[in-house]
Amino acid sequence: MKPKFLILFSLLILLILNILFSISIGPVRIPFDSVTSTIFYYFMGDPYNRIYMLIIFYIRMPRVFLAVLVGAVLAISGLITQTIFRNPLGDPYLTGIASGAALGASIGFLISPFVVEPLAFAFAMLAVFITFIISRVDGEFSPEIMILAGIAVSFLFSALASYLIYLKEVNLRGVLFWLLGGLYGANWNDVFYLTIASLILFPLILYFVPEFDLMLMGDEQAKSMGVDTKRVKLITLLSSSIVTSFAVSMVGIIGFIGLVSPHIGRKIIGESHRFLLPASILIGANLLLASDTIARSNPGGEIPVGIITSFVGAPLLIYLLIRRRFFDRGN
Amino acid sequence: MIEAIDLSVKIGKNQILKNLNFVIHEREKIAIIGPNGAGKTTLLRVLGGMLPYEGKLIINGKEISEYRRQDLAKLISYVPQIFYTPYTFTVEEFVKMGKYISIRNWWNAEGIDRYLDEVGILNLKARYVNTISGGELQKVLIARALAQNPRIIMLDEPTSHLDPKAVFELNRTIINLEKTVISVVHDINAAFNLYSKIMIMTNGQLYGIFSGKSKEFVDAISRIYQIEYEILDGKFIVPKGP
Repeated sequence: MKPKFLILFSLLILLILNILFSISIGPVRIPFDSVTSTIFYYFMGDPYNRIYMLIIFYIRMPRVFLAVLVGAVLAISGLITQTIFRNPLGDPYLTGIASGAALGASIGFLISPFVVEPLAFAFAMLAVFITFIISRVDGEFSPEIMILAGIAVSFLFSALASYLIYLKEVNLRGVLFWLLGGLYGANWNDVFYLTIASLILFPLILYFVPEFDLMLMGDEQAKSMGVDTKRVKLITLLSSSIVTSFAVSMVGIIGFIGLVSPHIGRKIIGESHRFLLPASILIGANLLLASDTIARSNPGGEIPVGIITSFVGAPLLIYLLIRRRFFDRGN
Repeated sequence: MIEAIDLSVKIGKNQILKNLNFVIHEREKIAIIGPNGAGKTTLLRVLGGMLPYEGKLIINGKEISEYRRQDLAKLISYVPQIFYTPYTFTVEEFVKMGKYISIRNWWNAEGIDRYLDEVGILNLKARYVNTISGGELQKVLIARALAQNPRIIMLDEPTSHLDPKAVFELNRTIINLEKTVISVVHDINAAFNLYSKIMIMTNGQLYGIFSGKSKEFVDAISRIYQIEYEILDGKFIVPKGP
């Protein structure tokens, strides 16, 4: 097998092990082999251990799969943003999604817990659309303007959210926990809907893999090589924004995964998107799942996962940056 | 064939090109020469379909603005002036990208060695583009433009980063291409000796179109740069005097 396929395969194996490990960890410690046996016998229609089965299928699995999905969504969106904007600081929230979702959620917490998710999604999309409209120059998104427009829209929506939280008697702990992000509310419904959204929108992004490498050369170069940059930007940014807004409305604002996963991917598998895209997705899924396992196994109670993602992701990136300096392999 | 009729380009409020009229025939070798800020690069960009324009600009009987991006890329490729890439692609991958227009999954493209060979960089095939010199990168960009297999190739100061040997080799390559070549050059001797037609531009206007190796061209650049040039041995353009 070619080395790059081997890396992808290893990341996939790592993800499977990560999933089994995460399922076995929790207040009730389920031994590793019991996890596999319970899952195996469940599908054989023969309960291996009823308690284990309930814990695994109704408590841990939804959360584990949601972590995998959200990690994948954030990573793919982060990579798209970094590629289209040709900016290593690109992250999925660059177009104002986070602040939009925060404002929507804050309004939601004022009204009823049941409208937090839909309002967060609606306001995240509103922020994205405002950013998109501002950034159109001659009918095409200008990356330079979009970065600044995203920052402006983010600040505007954050200010509104802060004002609302400050002025009204909002459930502060609820809002704060939501803002820091967490998978504690995971259920099969979330997993189902996010899977559907990913199944629709990921192919729209993956379709443009041949164009992404060319987009890195700059809009003008990409155009002269025959890329319809307008179409690539519109479809990929819109798809990734929708699926990210959807994920954010479910789990809050989980930082760093979207920024760091593509960078880790580049360091281990190189720049070509046909490898980098799947690698980033697997890395994002692995990172968020591991972070969430740590976050929920804290003895003093659950920590917001956003804190852990930074604690796990930052040293990993720093290590890769330093390693590159000492053992430069031109890659 | 490229035909421009009253071609004008505005960027913001600035009029960059004013009422250009010219015709470029198949397989002509055109040099564009003129002082900095004359609009040479803008002319290449508008020919590449990167800029909106006024007037008419027709390639093969159709307005450039009406072409779809992929159809235009089959006709014209554009080698930009300064191009630095921090991205870690190999020279081979980079040149294969030029095949995108014919094979969407360009990484499967085969037979790019001849383009590398044509510009003399077959030995660089496995190197990363962020580790090679400016001159080498220039050649990689030209190889990529050739891989695009266009009818017209536009180059913006193609020899500006090269040493004398590379300049000599590259000029020979460019002139022997069986394509229409439109090249922005600053070296008046190269323009004089190598190109069949020379377009002189000043202040966004076309000062005139001259044949290569003509005395009229030398007189024109003498007026424009306000240096008196003369032709030595029918080959060299040098300032008059000691």
